[in-house]
Amino acid sequence: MIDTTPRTGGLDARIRLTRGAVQVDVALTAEPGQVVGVLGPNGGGKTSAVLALAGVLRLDDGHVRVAGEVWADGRRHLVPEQRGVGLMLADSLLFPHLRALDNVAYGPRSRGVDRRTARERAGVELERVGLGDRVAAKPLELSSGQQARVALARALATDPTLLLLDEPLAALDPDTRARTRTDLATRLAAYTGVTVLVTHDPLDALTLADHLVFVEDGRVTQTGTPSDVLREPRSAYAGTVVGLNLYAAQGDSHGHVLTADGGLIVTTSPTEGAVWATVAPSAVSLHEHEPEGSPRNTWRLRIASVTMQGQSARVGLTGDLPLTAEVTLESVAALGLHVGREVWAAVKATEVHTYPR
Amino acid sequence: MSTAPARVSRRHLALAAAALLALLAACGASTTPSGTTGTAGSDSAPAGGTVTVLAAASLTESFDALARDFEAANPGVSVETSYGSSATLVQQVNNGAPASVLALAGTSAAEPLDPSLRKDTRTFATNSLEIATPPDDPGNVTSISDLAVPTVKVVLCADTVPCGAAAQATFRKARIVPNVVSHEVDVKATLAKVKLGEADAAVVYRSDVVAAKDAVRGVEIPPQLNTTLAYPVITLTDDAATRAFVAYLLSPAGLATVQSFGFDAP
Amino acid sequence: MTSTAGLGPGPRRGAGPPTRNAGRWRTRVVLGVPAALALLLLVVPLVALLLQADWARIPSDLATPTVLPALRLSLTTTSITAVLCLLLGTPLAWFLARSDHPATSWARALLTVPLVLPPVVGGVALLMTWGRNGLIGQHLAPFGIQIPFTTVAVVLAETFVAMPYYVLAVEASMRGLDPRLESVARTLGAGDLRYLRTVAVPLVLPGIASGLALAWARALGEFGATITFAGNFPGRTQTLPLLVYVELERDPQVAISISIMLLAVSVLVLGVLRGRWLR
Repeated sequence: MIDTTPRTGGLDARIRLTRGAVQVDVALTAEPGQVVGVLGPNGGGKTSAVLALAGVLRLDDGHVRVAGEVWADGRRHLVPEQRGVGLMLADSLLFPHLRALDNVAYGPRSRGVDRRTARERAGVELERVGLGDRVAAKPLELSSGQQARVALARALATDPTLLLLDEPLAALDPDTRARTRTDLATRLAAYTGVTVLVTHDPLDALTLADHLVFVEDGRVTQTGTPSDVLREPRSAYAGTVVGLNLYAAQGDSHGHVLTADGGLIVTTSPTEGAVWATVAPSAVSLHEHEPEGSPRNTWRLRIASVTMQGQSARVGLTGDLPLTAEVTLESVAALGLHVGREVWAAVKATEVHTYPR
Repeated sequence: MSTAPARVSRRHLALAAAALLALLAACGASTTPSGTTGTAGSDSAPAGGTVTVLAAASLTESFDALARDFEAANPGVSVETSYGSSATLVQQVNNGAPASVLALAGTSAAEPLDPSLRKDTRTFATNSLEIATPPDDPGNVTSISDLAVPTVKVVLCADTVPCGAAAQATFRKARIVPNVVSHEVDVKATLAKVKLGEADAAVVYRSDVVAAKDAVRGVEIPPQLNTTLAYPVITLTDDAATRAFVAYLLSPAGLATVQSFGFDAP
Repeated sequence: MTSTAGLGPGPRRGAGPPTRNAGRWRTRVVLGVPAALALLLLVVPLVALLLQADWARIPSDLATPTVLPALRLSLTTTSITAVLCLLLGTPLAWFLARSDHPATSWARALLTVPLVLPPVVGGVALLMTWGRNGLIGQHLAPFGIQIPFTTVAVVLAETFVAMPYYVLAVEASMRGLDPRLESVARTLGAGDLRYLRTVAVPLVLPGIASGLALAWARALGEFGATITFAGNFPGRTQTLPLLVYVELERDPQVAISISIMLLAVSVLVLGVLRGRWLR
């Protein structure tokens, strides 16, 4: 019989199930060693898909094949214990009564490995996440970042063929998150199985994943590499994740783009028919008076929000065209940008990027 | 953090407390007798009042009948009866339980009673022992000596209870060591084990065997081995209703009623 | 992860505006008075008992020949009852804790019946089951197995009244476990039994210990079901509570002395448990 599974070691899944009000129909494929980032709004089905891969949820239809082995299809359903899967969640869920070493050794021990070998393996895994000196600590004695790393080590100690990370950094404060993200990246680079990383943090997606899958309302709305998505987001959510102004519109051959709300944008890269149009916030300039000269896109808009992002400010604008602008803090002060004020926003036609929808 | 929930729970608390108090008051009202009226003096038929009778367990059926008859003949008077082991009843009276009359099984049971509480003591009946077995007689008991057979399960009253002490005396006279499996707290509990079919034989009062009718089968104990107990009635309060009740008990009619339940003449 | 203290720093002790202090005093009174009443209600009879005792007599009272057998019997039967609760009650609590099926609320309600049933009635029910003519007993009789009037009956009576306490306490404790722990354990390769043994039970051990203490104490004081079902025979079925009742009819002081010993035994055992396991 011809083996039709994709390259050995990889993930090939088609997940169809109903969870509450959401009907999930998601296809996920990956090569061994790849990290697939699954993004989407809350309640959209990401976690359900992960739990189905883990075997905690049953499929209504579809299949899950990992490393050539069928974990679930119309006939079979392997329970989690029978799958070679590692799971890490936002809450570390370490066993509170066991030391870090025994937490990590739990997997090998459950699979029949003797205590000494299991502990040795656990020690190695903890080294690899940088916690070789904290093996004897109880979870309570560890910081949240360290707990997350122990949870990762525990998931990897069983040599899983599929690693599932469901918002692994969500419970950490920003500083710890940044540090742990780096540790995670290092560890994942050395992992030879498939990793499915669920997140709604754009940084996680863009720095850790090789390949992105957007899941909204149970369906896949876009797949691609991070740079693909960065350039051409294909859903409002994706647009938010990559931080671009995104419009669903109709374009003509002369570079006129009409958005669904009736706003008009002019672009130098015309695409006919149904298009997505993007404008980078940094390409939006704000003026007190109607600007003359090069920008062929100008609108008089009202300021709805002003937020700080590091050294710059994001100004949310409403009116003919909803727009987010990124300006310097000096501009905020100089122009007196505050909520409710009306300003002129200008975008050069060259900064408007369109692509087929 | 609004105060609304706190106010609600405080109201609930008050309601619960009020309900509890009402319940306690009602209980108190029902258990404490309305008080024997202090209508001293007149010896004629009492106009009203309550007579509280504490009687030995073996007197249950006979005193229920006496109480009914007395109330019928004396409207306005109510007789409240309570039954238990003689020893327990004496203790309760010593500890201040409100009672008008005490009827015990055996004069020795009356010994611990505080002498100052005794207004008057009379004997109104005698009782002797009898063996009771379940109707189908699973232990094949035909005489007292069968009680020593190892496969026969015998229950007795505890030694501290008059019927238990009397039974021990009887066994000593008969020179028999019975195969006892349990010592029950009063004679009715002893009989119950036989009625339930759990015990093969029990040594109870003859009056109990009579009162149980077809529920048990009786095996007589020969008079020379048997122990007889004299039942005293002790008057504790001095009021018309109580005196009338005791008088009724000791009257020919009253004695006949008691004897109809298997007791012997005093 | 949400922080646990969502209220911020509380009022500093001693300092603070008068209204806040008054509020705190009001709380202390409104809650403190009923609490004190509750404590008094429970403790004063205990004190009264201790005061009424003739302490000089206690050693000779306890030398009564029936005391030691009753003590031995009580300790033996309650220990066996505790073991039965542990072995039979823990799995039951496990199933009750994991199920959301409507049938479990019925099962739980049935479980509380021995709690509300008057113990004597419980004893009658046990007779109806295990007695000579009982539902099960009648089938045991031909094999020569008789249960009433034996020590086995004492254990059955004690287990009947004590196990519901244990099961309900342990179930509550198990429900407190994060169900995701089990999912994680399963992905690590642990099946149901392994998870139970290595994670669930160790984590609910405090609940098990306090459930056991409660059940043991209830079994120790059990009277009504014991005397109705097992009967009263020194050394075989006469537990300490039964002995106390019988002695009360003979010599109340002896009964009080034995009760004080019973008190001392339970305080000792529960005190040790509290120190090591119930903390």
